[in-house]
Amino acid sequence: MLQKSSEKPLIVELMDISKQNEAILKFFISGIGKKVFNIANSSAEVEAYIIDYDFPGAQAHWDELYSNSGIPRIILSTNDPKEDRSVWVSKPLSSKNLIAAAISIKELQKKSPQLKKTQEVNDDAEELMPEKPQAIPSNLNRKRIASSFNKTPFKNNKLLPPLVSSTKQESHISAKENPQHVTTEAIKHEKKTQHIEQKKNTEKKPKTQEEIEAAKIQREKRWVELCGDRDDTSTSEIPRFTQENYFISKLIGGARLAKQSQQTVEVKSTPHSVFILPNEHLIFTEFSVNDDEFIKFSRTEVTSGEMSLHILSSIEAGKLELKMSESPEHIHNLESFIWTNSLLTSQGRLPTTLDLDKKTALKYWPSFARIEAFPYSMRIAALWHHSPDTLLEMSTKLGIPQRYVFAFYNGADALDLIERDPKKVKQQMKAKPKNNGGGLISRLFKRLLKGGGAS
Amino acid sequence: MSVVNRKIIFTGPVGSGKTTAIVSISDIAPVTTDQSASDMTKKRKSDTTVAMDYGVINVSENERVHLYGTPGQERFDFMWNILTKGGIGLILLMDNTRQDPYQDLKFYTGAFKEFIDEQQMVVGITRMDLQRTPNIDDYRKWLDELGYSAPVFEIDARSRKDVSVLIQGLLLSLDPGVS
Repeated sequence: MLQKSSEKPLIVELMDISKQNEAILKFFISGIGKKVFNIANSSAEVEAYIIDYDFPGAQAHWDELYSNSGIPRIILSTNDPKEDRSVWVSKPLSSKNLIAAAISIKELQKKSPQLKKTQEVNDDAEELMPEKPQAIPSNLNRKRIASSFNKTPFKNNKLLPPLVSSTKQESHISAKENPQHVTTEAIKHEKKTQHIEQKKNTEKKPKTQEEIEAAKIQREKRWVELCGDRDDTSTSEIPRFTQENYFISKLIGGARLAKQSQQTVEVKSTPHSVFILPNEHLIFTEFSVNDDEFIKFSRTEVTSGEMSLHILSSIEAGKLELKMSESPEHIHNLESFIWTNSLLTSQGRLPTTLDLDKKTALKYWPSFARIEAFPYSMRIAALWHHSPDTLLEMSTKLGIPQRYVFAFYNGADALDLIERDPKKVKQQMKAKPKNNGGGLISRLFKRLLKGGGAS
Repeated sequence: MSVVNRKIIFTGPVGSGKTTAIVSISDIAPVTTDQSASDMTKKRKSDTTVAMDYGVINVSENERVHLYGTPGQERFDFMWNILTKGGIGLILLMDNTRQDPYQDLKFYTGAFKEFIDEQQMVVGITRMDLQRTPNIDDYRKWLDELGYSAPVFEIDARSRKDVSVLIQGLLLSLDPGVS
């Protein structure tokens, strides 16, 4: 497959390739591909171009400025553009395919010597040719240019990666896509680093010792609200609760109905209703999960007929959408809302229906960056997902208070993340942990915990 | 005293937040290809520019975890093989605003299959504030279909806390007993 030693490398110029990919290709050319490719020092030397057709505007650029050059191309793209005087290398790129492409171009040149002649003519006429635009200094400008290209029909428009790809954006959450927005996006992109810095600043921990103490007390108070504060006890004395007597039961029922019907469902309740949007995975309600009102509401037993479920009509859904755009502060993440409500309700108790001797498994991890974490919650998830077990066994294995395992169980149960089918539970048992990092993994974990996060 | 070096690989489509995530969590000012490449002359350079985003977490005086972001838009297999060698795990970032996130997921899990099988993966969904669908349940279902079992978190790549949670998820997946 490799080129014969007697043959010279193909002298190429890279065009319309993102900076990163350009760097990779140059890395390749200076290493594995050095006997096959050489990068031109001047345009006069160029025997072939390597062009990325998936790069915004690449094809138009070629058509406009280079189509008459007669110099063959190696086209990198996901789909075959079926262009003359070119060799297509499909993505994902491989060194093998690139080397094969170089050989094909060499063969093409041998078969069609006019290719080279044309090049010579073009070299003579170089001054008359429009100058190749200078490499655009930043991705931002590329994006701006690409956005303007996108306004005109493209021969191969499908290949262009979307700049702001979705046309399904939620009007109540973000600005609708339009050319101006695309530019705005590009500017946003440029300012990303600045944003990150700002974000980092806002995430900084309180500086004074007093603030640290206050934050700690606040956090511990919240953990008690979520997980209770009971000490470990014998199986028979573990406090139980009947989920059906609380709002959480209606909420879970509403989420299930919304998912099945793919419609927005309202859990009608007083003082506030809760709207469940299944596709968007959102909740809209005037409740705030941190308010005492909500905690009280979650823990108050409901009477029959006090709450009901209602599928919204299209008119009602439209009105809700308007309301959501007016009051985005009342929008909650669905998973997070159900999780918190479940924990606030149970407060470390277990459902009366739960068989404590039965092994279960965690089917899926909850979305930890969005739910309210509490001590050991991520460790519970990891262990339960990896090694299905009973709740008490998990508490023992991890050496942690039962209440945290119970709280996690309730949250996971409300989110339907638990596997109960004994066959599947058994299947989920994994062979052994893959840790090959030794103590480093443990130390890295501790290091990350110091910097905040779940647990 | 010798220095222990380990790697975590960040991958995903262009715009999924790899660079941002590394910037968020790295202890050093991250090296990005864009920056280096802009200095590139047209002439060939034998010791070429870094072709990926790079950051570091200093765990202790003699232990470092290197963070590498794969070039997003393109898929250059030999590069990925080099990158993943010696890696402890993969963080796959998915941009929820892209046209076909399922295809992206399929592509990247397929491309890194060997590495995922040997190590572990965690999936972070970004830009969900701009595009809510597909939702997190869809990703879980897709991973099931593709035969992978991995934590899936909705994240904001600009948030150090969110990126930290991703890495914690990865570490705990590798070793649930880690403490």
